[in-house]
Amino acid sequence: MSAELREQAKDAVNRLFRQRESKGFWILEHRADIHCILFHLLVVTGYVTAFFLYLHPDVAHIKNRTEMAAFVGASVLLLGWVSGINLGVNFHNHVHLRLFRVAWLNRWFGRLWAITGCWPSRFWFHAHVTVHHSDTLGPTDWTLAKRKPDGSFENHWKYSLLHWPWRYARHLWQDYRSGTHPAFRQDAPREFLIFCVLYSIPFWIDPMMGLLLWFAPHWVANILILGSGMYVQHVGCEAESDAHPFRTSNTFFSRFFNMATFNIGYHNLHHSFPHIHWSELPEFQPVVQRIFDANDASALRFGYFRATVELTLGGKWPAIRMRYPQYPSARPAEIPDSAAQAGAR
Amino acid sequence: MSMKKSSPVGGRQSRLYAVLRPVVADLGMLAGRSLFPLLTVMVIAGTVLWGPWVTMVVAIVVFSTASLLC
Repeated sequence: MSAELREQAKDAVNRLFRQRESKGFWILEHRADIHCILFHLLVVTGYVTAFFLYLHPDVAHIKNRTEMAAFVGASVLLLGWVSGINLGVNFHNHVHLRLFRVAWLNRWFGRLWAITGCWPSRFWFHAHVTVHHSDTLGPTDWTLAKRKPDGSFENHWKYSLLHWPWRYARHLWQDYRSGTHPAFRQDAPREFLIFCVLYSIPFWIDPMMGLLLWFAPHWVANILILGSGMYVQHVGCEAESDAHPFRTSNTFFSRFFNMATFNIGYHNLHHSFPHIHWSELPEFQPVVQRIFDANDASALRFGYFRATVELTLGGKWPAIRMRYPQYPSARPAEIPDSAAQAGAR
Repeated sequence: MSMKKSSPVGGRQSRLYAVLRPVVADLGMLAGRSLFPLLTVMVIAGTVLWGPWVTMVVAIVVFSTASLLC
């Protein structure tokens, strides 16, 4: 039965995939990726603006340390917020499907992209694609929350606070030393050196500014945004198996959330078919919705931020999932014609 | 909204609508997809206009609202 579900989903997705036209534009592989570039450039603009105002406090009417603390606090919160999305969602898109048709541009844009989240781009690729996607929730997936003997997940905040950079660093070091990932072992020293040079630039300009307006937002980005995101994407789920091929991830249907975060809420679809471009996930979702439902895949009607709030207020996962189920799935009016035809065939 | 061809201005409006609609939709989507960093830049740069305390309050309001809305 489940093998059938898997084949049905593959058939439906591949049929729709074949109907697609090439959406390349100039040096971009997909014209929608202009959104990714704009998002990243705005994040960089945010950092540059904050650095400028920190170095020229008179311009921002900052007259004493208390006022500077207020400015830094606001900047850390906002920059951390968008940096987390920029790395965990936006750069994540580039990791799966490269933005540019030019190899060196992909490499260097990626390096400059990932430093706004305090990551060497190659390290993030290894953690996400080589480790996380290849064995989601399996025994070798060290990117996710640990599980207790009863199968439940460790506390959300414990995971977020311990994972970056501590557990990540330990596992990356182990993978580097083990020799089981020769490509990573070969690239890691060079990529780490490039990262150190690029990441140190704000510290050379002003060490305190580097700490407050560069490192501190990255801490917020990795702990509060990325940690929470990784947690809610997979909490309560299970590794892919013959019995349950589509229970590795939770789907989040909030339209506003998906509009503002590159459709990352369609996470079960993304994990099942990572070759689908982020901008096309809503088109593919109705095609497989019925199949996901048949496999009792989890889907909720809000986004990651609200899920994090619910968890922080003491909610437990299965209860949250039951309290906020998805809206009626695959509403006919929302299914694009092409998707409906592909799904029906 | 559909216009009848017999309407004195219907045809012209429809053509204008047809031309502008995708442009406005694309610009809207461009702004929507970049809403969060756009707000971030505006709030941080806005410190020049309204000072650090308002920036802090607005930052907390923006972050809290986003957390509740999505």
